[in-house]
Amino acid sequence: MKFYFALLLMGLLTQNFVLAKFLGICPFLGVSKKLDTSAGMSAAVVLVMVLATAVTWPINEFLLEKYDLAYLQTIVFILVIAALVQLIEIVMKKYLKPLYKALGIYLPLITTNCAVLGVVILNVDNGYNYPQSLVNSFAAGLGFGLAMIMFAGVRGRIEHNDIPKFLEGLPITLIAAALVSLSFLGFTGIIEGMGLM
Amino acid sequence: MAAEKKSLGKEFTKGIIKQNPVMRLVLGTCATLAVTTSLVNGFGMGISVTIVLVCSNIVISLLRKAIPNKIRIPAYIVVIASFVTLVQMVVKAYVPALDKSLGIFLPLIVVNCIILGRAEAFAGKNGVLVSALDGLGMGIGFTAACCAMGIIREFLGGGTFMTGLQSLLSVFGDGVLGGFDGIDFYKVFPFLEKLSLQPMTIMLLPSGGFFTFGVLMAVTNRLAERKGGKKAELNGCGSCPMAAICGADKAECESMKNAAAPAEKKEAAAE
Amino acid sequence: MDTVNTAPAKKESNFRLICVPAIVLLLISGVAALLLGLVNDVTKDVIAGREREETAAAMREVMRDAAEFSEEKTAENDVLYYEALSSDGSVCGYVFTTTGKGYGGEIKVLTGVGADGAVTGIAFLSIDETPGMGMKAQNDDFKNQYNGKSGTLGVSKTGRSDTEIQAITGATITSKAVTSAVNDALACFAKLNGEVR
Repeated sequence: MKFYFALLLMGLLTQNFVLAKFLGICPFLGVSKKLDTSAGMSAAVVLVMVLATAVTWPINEFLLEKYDLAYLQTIVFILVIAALVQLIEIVMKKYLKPLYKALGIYLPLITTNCAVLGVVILNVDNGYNYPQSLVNSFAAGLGFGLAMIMFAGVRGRIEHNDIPKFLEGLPITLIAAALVSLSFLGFTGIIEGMGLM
Repeated sequence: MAAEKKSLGKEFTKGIIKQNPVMRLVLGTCATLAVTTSLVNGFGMGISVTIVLVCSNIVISLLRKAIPNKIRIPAYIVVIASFVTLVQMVVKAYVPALDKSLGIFLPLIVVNCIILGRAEAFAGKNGVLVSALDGLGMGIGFTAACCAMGIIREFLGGGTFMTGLQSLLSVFGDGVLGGFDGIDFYKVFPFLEKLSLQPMTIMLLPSGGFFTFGVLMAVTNRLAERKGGKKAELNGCGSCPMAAICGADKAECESMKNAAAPAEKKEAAAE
Repeated sequence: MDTVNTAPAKKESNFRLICVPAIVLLLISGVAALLLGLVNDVTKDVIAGREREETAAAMREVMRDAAEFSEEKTAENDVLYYEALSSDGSVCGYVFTTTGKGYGGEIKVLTGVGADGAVTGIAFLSIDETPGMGMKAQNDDFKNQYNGKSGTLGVSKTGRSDTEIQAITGATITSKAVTSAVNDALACFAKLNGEVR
């Protein structure tokens, strides 16, 4: 139980996918202009991350590892994710119309979101078991969402401020991201401090 | 044909400066930020991406008539993922130090938007030679951006230059280039320590990565403006390879009103 | 076209719609898998050889007195270890592979323990910590602190003593992880030594 809580805290704060691991930067910079879009994107990412882990972990354990095919990991994982995203989209469109309207538009983008492939590979690399992998993916997704939503707020502020001309646009966004990432550095040691590890 | 020949040089050079994938098109940012804690790492990443980019561009361009339009994205992904796995295996076998320092970002080249982006925007529509040159140019542009980030972060963050060079060169045997393994400025200039000038470790941390990238972006924007070019902009996911089939970009502008329209487009491409 | 054509033509277009893409995709994947399999055959021996070489070099580094090492053995708690043999074939120490949970994942440590129960040296088989902080654990300045120590070690932020390792500034988690791995090795040695006697 303790370990699961540590995984959650790591995904959210100390090992935040966007701010500490540099995974999923494209959507972080691209889709975080508004609060509603970043929330929608984050929800879709959490969903795909957990489902992708639910599918790839058994495939890795019972197919790739068993038959000595670990070298095919990258190619198998990305194809599974791509197929899964398609499948989720089709099912959602047919049976969950409201959800599709809210999340569906973000789904195709997620195939090339390195955070999803990243979490799947990291789960295997870290040797997590099935429930641990699922919790870790969920935590990573939440962490991604936290960063997205926080940053949407930051960007809202930037828009209404007088920025030096040469920093306008992308540069100031990146520098703001640097500051947010710096603030997350303050969480270093929280897990250790709480005696979770 | 004549026009194509004329543009060969252009297709090659455009990726290096005018359409630099990192600085101008803002693609492949994850890798650019994550692995550029030293020049050697940035260079290694750049080379790996360039190899994958050139190879996948060539193969996709060769297969462009054989691949039905509907399955082009999965087909591209298979081709790219294969080359990434190839590079991964070769790096692991012959340059293990690079494998260790790039870590998870080596397999993640698969989802580096530059590669799928070039496949979708260029190689899928153009001849083999042009596509190869396009990939090479873009790869060099990416490598240059990674190296620039790496030099700055390594110098400010660790007070060193080109450390770990030997581990990269170990493919060619021991002690290449007279065993030159980078410069540690604290060893060359011992008085630095006496002045209590510490390296800024923060530059090696994620925060420093964002900061360096932001400053570099401001500088390149300024240079581009002087030459009459445009600022690098983040038009949602406009530069993302999936943009054409994805609605997130449009949602950004129109706040999801048109969710149905891009979704239909997507369906047509996916079926 | 489809709307004008009659039924048989439609069937053909169905074939074109579904089967042709499927076959093409199958072909591409097949060729890719074949190619990867071939390359894997070539590189896997090189990779395995290199890993063995690296471990061997690290073992010599942590246990300079040994003339050769025994085969890999498994102790309690699944700790892998090697017996270090002196030139006359007697056991003069052990080399343990243990792990600690660092900031960036698992840290694999190779610890050499002499017959007297004191650490003869440590080396890292895999470490992926923050550059400039946790990665400083690889510096001799930090590693050499362990030499000659025995019993159970602690970590201190202020200074080094006989039983305490001075933590790397800003990387207490890494220092603790390495120390816990070394402690595991020492505990394992104590058990082995008890059995031998």
